[in-house]
Formats: sequence, C-alpha cells, structure tokens
Amino acid sequence: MNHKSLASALGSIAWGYLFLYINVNLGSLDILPDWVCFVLVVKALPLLAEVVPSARLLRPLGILIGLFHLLNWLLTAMGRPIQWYLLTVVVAVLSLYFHFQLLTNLAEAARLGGYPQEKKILHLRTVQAVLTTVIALPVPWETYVACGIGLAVVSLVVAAWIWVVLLGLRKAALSGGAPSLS
Amino acid sequence: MTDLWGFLLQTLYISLVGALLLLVKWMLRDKLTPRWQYGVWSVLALRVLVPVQTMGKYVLLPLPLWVETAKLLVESHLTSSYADLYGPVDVTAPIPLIAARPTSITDWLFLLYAVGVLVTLVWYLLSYLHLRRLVMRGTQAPDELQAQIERVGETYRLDTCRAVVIPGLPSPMVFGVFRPVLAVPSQGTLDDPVILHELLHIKHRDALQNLFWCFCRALHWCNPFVWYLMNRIGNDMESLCDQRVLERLEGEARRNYGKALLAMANDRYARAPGTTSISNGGKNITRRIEAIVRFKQYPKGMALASVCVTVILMCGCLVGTVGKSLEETSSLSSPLALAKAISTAHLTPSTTPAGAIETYAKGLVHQEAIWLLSVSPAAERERIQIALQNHETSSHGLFAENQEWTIYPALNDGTPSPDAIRQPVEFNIDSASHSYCVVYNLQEQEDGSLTGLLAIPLEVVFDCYYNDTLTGGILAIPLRVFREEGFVVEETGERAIYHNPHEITSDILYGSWLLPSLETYEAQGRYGKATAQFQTVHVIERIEPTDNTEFFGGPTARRIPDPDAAFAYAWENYRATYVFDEKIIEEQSTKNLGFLIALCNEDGSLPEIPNVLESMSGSEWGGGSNGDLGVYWTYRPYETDWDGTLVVSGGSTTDSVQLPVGYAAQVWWNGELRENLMLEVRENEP
Repeated sequence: MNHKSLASALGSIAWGYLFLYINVNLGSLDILPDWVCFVLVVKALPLLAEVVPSARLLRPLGILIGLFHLLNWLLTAMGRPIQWYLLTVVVAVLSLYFHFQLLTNLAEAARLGGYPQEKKILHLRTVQAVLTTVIALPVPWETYVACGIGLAVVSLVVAAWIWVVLLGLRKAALSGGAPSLS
Repeated sequence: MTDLWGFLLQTLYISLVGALLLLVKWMLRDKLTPRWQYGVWSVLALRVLVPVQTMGKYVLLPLPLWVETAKLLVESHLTSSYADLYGPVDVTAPIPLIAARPTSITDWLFLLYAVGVLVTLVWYLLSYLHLRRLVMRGTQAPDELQAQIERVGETYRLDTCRAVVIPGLPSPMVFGVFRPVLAVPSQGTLDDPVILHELLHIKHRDALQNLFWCFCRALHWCNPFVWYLMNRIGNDMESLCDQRVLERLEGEARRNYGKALLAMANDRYARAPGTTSISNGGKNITRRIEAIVRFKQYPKGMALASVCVTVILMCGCLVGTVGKSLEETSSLSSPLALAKAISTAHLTPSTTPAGAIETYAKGLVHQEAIWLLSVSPAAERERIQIALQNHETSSHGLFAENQEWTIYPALNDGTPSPDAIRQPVEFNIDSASHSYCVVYNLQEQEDGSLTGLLAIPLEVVFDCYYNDTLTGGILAIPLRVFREEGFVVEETGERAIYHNPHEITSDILYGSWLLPSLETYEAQGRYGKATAQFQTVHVIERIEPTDNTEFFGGPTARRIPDPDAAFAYAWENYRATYVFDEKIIEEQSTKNLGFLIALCNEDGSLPEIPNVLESMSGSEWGGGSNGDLGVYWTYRPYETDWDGTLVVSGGSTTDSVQLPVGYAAQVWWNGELRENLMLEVRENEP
C-alpha cells in the first residue's frame, strides 16, 4: 500500500528538515543536531522508493553526509569542530545535490499521486538550493549583523514552508488514493 | 610567476583544485549531466588564470605556508636573483616572467621551467602547422560527401563547413578555430551521426577551448598531474559532444552511433591544438560507448543544481578560507621552526591600520620579533630576519639591557617638560596594556599614511638606582603606518618615557596630558593668557570574553594580536587654561572669575555662545558644558592663595576626528563679560 508508505516517509522527512534548519545550542552542543535529519531521511528513503524508485539512489550519499555531521557534532561538543575547509566545501556540494534530488523525488511522488503540492515542492527546491548556495559561500556572514539576521530569518521561513508543504502532502497522501507508478 | 616558488605554489594550487574537482565529479558521476561534468572544469580554468596571491591571505590548504617555509629553508643558503627572502612568494601573473639573470640553482630551475613553457608552445605550434599543411594539401571532399554534410547541417540546424580528404587520416576531425575545416579520411564513408558530432564541435567552438587547454598544459608542462587533468578534460569534452549527439538522435540511430565510435579507436590527433577529433583513444571510446548505453535525458531543473554546485566549488576554490594567523612563538631553535614562523609573518599582513598598530605594540611588549616582522616595512625585514636567525631577539623589544631612555618629567601642571633627561631606567609594563592598545594624535598625512604616538602604560618606573617609589609613566613611540602589501609600521622618532613622579599614571584610555597634544591654541588677553590643547586617542580593545573565563572572574585579554583589528573608539580630549596675571587680579576687587571656551565653526566663524556665566555669584564654584554647541566653562571665587589658573577640560567619543579650527574664549569677572578672545594655532607644535 503505497500511500501509507509515502505518508510515513513524508513525516520522517518533515521532522528531519526541522532538525536541519533549527539549531538550539547549549554552550557548544546543538541539541537539534543536523545528523538526525539524515538519519530520518535515510530511514524514509526505502519507503519513498516504493513510489519513486530512484529515491533509493540517494541512500549512500545520505549516509555519507550524515556521518560527517555526526562526526562534526561530536568534535564540536569536545571543542574541536572540523576546520578542514576543503572537506566542508565537498560536503556543502554533496548536501546541496542531496536535498535538491530529494525534493525532486518528492515532487515526482506528488505528481504521480496527482497531489497539488508538486509545483510548491519544485519552488521550494529552487529556494532551498539558492539559500544553501548563499550560505556556503566563503563570506563571513556573522560579521555583518544585518545579513546574519536576514539569513536566519529566511532559513526559518524556508523551514516553516517545507514543514507546511510536506505535511500537506502527507495529509493528502493519507486521505487520497494510492499513487500509481507510470 | 617570477621565481621557482611562485610556480610551485601556483601549480600545487591547480593540482589541489583539480583533485577536488575529480573527487566531486566521481561522487556525482551519474547524477549530474555531462554538461556539468565538462562545465565544472571552468573552475580549474579560472584557477589557472587567476594568480594565487589575488585573494590575499585566503587559502585552500596551508600551501602558501608550506611553500614559503620551503623557500626560506632552501634560499637562505643561496643567493637568488628571483626569490625574495624577506617577503612572501609573489604570484601576480599566471605566466612566467624573467626579470634578471639567474644566479642560483633555483633561478636556473625556474629559467628551465620558463624555457620548457616556450618549447611546449613551440611544439604545439609546429603540430598545428603540420596539420595545417596536411589540410592545405588535402583534396576537396567529393560532392556527395559535401552534400551529406549540408543535409546533416540542415536537418539539425547547424552551420556547416567545407570538407577535405586527407589520405592516412585515421578518423574525422575539425581543424581550425575561426574558419574550421572538416578533415575526413580517404577510406570508407561517413555516417550522419559522425558528421553531426563534428558539426556540434564547430557550433560550440570546441577547437578554441582546446587551444586554451593546450595553453594550460604548456604553462604546467612539468606537472604530470596537470597533464592527466587535461586529458580528462578532453575526454569530458568528447563525452559532452556525445551527449549532444544522442539528444538529437533516436532509437536505432543512437545504437549506430556507438558502432561508429567503435570503428575509430585511434588517438593520433586527439590533443592537437586548434582541433577536435571524434576519436580520443581506445580506452576512452569504450567508456563513451558505455555512457551511450546508459544515456538518459536528465530532468528539467537539474541545471539549477549544476549551477549552484559550480558556484560553491568556484568560490571555494578561488577564494578559500583565512589562512594561518599569528601565534606565540615557543621555540625557534630549529631551522624548520624558524622558517615556519618567518613564513607565517610573511603571510599574515595586517589588513587595517589598527591591526598593524596592535601587532606592532604587542610585538614590542611581548618581545615577539615574528609579530614585529609581520608589520615591518620591506626595508626593515632583512634586519629583523637576520637578527632572528642569529637568535638576537631581545633587541627588538623594549627590554634591552643597559638601555638609556629619554625621559620627559611632568611639570607642575602635569604637562611634559620640554627639557628631557637621559638615563638608564627599568620599568614594568602595566598589565592593562594586554587588554588594549592606544595611539595618540593619529593623523592622516598627505601621502595617505597615518602618524601618531603609540602609548604603552608603565606600571612602575625605576631609575638606575632602583628607587622603588611607585610611580607610573607612559612609554611613547612615534610611528607611521602606511600601506605596503598590507599595513606596516615604522618608528619615526625617539622612544621616550613621559613620567610623573607624583602620581600613578596608567589610565590612558581617555587622554593624558602627560603626553603631547596634537595641537595647541593660544591667545594673549588683557588679563592673562589663554591656552587650549587638543589631543586624540584611538583605542583598540582586545578583550575576549570567551577565552579562559573563570566562574567568578571576568573576561581575559587575548595576547595574540589581530592583524584585522579595528579601532574600538576615538576620543577627542581637550583642555583649556586661562592663567590670570596675578598683579591684575590683585589690583581690582575680584570676587569671582569665569572662563569659557567654545569650538569655532568649521569655516572659522564664531560659534553661538550662551550667557552661562552671567549668573555666577561670588562664592560659587562650578563648571559645565554643552557638547552640542561645543561650549565648556568653569568659574570660581577669588582667593588669595589661588594661583590664578582656571582650567576647563573634557572629551567625547567621535566617529571621525576633526582638528578644531580654533577656539573662542570669554573671560568673565564678577558676573560681567570682560573679554572675548580668539585662540589660534600655536606655531611649531612639538
């Protein structure tokens, strides 16, 4: 039964994005760590793959990025965050592709099910890709207070938007029929 | 590139970027389109063309530090005409530039490299000319073939070109950048997809791009990894062309295209400049056929991801992150440690005047010659480096033994005496100097440099007989800050101690009249003399609340200077005095006296002065100010034991220091305005 799997996957992914976009720090420890996002998303990929088979291909990348974030989280807690610039560039690139493709797959799932969220997810994908690119640029955003605040606000808006759209799709999947593979 | 080390740095950078791109391309090999797989090499192209030094101290890895250290270790035993031992490796152009005769082995190696570039370029030119001769001697293609080319061009809406038949040519190729010619073998016929492939090369000017990659290969002819990268770029270019062909074909035509490629497993002219060839070697053909089998149309929207990924890679590879900063030097006994420390100094220029001043001040206070080196002008660096190599570090700080100092003791009014004494003294630096750095009377000069007086508070000053009266003082060092590959500092006069034996003088953050003023204004009035002094204070704070904060303690000062520091604030300090002529005030029935000064307007006109002293009465003391109007006043009753001096002083923070044009002053006597004065700049300000 595909729509149940899709709904379950969407729930996990929505919670995952919450962990990705919201950071609550106790000292140097983030109690909403980014690696949890990848755990939830990777867990959801097989369920999503029942509707969009190519989603399975994201799994190795998701595990790799998740491991990086886990390692960085542990090292940051010990006061030694990863400071290899080249590594952070590579991870930024892989993360951008990962989320882009994930949202593409979710839009495909919405299209197959005939749900109205397809276009919204595609817009979200564009905004998320641009935002990720801007944040990844080698600009010390934190030294420009207005820019830092602006980026934080935009990130929160995007997080809320993702949450609303994914949960809307989940609701549609739960209440609608099973999407068919074409 | 002007020396071997510049070339080494540039080629290592390119290798690093190439390796990074290969890694990312491998990880996204089936995920992003062949367009991206080839297009991402634009990052490498920019890295080849943009010299490493363009981004200043932003780096990808500590490659500049490693190369600089190697340079110092090697060149310190040589006498190179190209390498600058006392400055950082200079890469301001992506091509080799020879400016002098070689004198050392590293110079000869660089010359050999430059000759190699020329030889490679000449070899490419000869290859091109050889091919050109072949094409010129080729016969015009048969009419049927030309018609076939025209038909393919018309079908796929592509520009065509003339074709020539060259005997012995293994596979078709496009020759020429501006007037391309399709060279075809004399045997057999050509399939339409093959012609399509070559016409697509012409459409996208791949021959011109190939010319550029050949140039890159020549520039780094001795780096085998760059040759590997160029081969990969060539392969990706062909794969992209295959993708373009397949996007235009359907069904059986795609399979036939693969068969056509199999028949052309020859790479004889694959890398020739100004050409493109459908065949790039047997192994690569196999790879391309596998890609054809896997061909898919990539979904719309993937272009955005491709662009975003490329932007991140481009900015990351071209800009990088902030390189190694200054550190405390523990032991410089080994040549490697010394070379590394000196390299760090070379590569950590100060980007702000405040950063340069702070680095210089802390270098003096903490006797860190490396910090001094990082902000020293080129003319000074050799001296400091030689002293470091001879382990003569103590001569750079403030604590040389038996050093005589020029001392200006304070007068009764607290200002420095014009007559200095000279004697050995010892002193302790006030620990507060770790938290801030203070410069007095900072002024911009016509040449854009800044001059001022570095003020270091002293906790205790002992004379040579260790008289331990607890007095303070201020060590003042006149200096000039100017731009020279970053901001540098030079001392412009004698270091002096301003010493007041009657009071502890350590608080210098908001001015001290123990130090000279920037400008003095004066006027002689009927009843006495009016003098106004103006002084500025620029402060750099180095308090780091997060460093070693104790539970019951406060923030601690960071010892290491920040080459990018900014001034925390600028303070304008003023003091005005009116010294009454004793005889005059004794002669008249004096009850109370008042003195007021007001800042003149920028155009020199008189300011608006309120009548604040009209209501002063005989027994009152007082004073006040109106900062908005720039008016300050004081008043007091006359007493027989009074020395006849009225003083008004104060200060304020400012965003930009402006030297007062002058001051207007009023003398009030028994509630009446007795005199108006204009105080003007005293000439020959010390």
